[in-house]
Amino acid sequence: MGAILEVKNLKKSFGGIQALKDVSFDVAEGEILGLIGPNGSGKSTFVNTVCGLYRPDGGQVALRGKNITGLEPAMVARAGIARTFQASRPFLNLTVLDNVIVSALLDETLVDAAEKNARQAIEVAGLSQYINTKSCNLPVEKRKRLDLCRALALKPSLLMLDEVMAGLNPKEMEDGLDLVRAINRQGVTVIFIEHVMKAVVSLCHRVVVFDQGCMLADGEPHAVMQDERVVKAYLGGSYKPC
Amino acid sequence: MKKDVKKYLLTAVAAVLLLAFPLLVDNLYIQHSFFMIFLFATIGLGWNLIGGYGAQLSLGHAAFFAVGAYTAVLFVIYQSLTPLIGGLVGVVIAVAVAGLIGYPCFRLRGPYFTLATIAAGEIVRTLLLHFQDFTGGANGIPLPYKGDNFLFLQFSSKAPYYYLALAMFVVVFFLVRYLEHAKMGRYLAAIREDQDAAESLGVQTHKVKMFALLISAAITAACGVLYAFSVSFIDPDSVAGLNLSIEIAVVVIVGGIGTLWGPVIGSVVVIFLTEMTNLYLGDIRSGASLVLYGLLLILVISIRPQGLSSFFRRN
Repeated sequence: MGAILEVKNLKKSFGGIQALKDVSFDVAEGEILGLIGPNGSGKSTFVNTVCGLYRPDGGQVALRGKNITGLEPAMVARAGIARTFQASRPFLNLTVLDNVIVSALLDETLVDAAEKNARQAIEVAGLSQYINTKSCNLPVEKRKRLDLCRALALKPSLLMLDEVMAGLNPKEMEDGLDLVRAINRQGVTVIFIEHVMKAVVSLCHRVVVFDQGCMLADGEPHAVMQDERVVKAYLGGSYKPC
Repeated sequence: MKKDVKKYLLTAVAAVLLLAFPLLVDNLYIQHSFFMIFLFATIGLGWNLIGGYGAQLSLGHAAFFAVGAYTAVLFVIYQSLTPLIGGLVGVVIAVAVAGLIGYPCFRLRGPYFTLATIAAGEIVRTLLLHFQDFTGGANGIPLPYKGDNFLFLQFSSKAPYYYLALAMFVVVFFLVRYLEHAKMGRYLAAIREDQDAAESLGVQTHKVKMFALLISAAITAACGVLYAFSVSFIDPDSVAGLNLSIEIAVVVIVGGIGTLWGPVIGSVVVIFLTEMTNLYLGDIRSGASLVLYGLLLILVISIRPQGLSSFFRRN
């Protein structure tokens, strides 16, 4: 299958720190791509730069061949890329339904039609029992789900999930992984940024590893985990995989 | 069902009372006070679109009010043009001014919009003072009386102004009620809560804010036109002063920012207090109404920061 997202020589610096140094890779249509790397390796910067929150200092990003480099975030979302935030950011004073209606309005002019789509997305995300709960009253796991649900209601072709599993217990994580798989089966390509290796290995078709703003490795999850450079960057030199 | 019947009955009684009011109370001062209550409720509803729902604090709405008022009055004086058209031109100019403020500011975060609105208000006031040959300057400009004439919005009694203000209030109230629940209101709420998250969902925040500001400016300018013709005299300080801009914001903040009934309740309380202090304390201490203002604002912010309308809200 062809590439849905093509990233070429993407660069981003903050002051003297180069958060992204010349990053290039493609994401294939329909895959779940894991993006891993130690803290500060540039994963979130990558998401924020692709999504338009940061303006890149150089390089190109194309979605299905269309150049989207440097577009403002709303236009990137309209082009078909949805994202969640590392710390979930629901509209705290709105109910779950009202939160999701905002994103469902992207394709609809009328609130009634958007509400119908929003209810569907809420059901898929398993939040139906909280539909009229204000999102400030949701526990962390449900807030993350709401973030995901909102992104889903945009009907994106590419979904970037920034550490959606952080802070979840094993059962919640398992449910979350099932949800991501279900979304992927509907034809949504996923970039899955995560620290929890178990989740990455069980979910992703392919893994890209970042270290200090550079791409360190790219390949099948198990192979990448065995890669010496990855082990060194990620777990420290003394770790020996058995 | 029962609740609905009760609601409709209450609305009907309120409507009849409001319509019959000028017939029941012939005191001109009280009629004028009610006119001012409707006028400020309407401006407040308009201000709330950008200041409340969109949380972009404007302290320059007097600029739009003054542009509406002066344009309509100057057209009558120099062209003998009916304010029904001159007022419309005023509204269009006010919308253009709003566009000039919003375009650079809404792409920025932080207090820039508020600062720009304060500046815009002062620029309009200074221009009105500077071109005194044309605008009458600080002396203000009296409206030539053309007799009881709807085309020139001049009437021998206060009642027609009361009805015009009531009509404008009703139209704007239902417009804002519609917008609040429509796409625009939903987007404004998202912007108020978290701009970055809203943008990640495809909300073009600067466009939404701009649209809200333009409607807000149009409503305020239309109110300026009505005000000018009801009092027959305008001057820069009263229609373009920072005081007026602050009063508009205070009305909404006291009543309940970002709520439909907030500007209405705020207008009733603030205008009633202003008129009463002007009536009873005006001769003794001219600043009395301002002191009361400050006290009211301190009380509301410390006891009920969501505004008075929150007392009426269920749950």
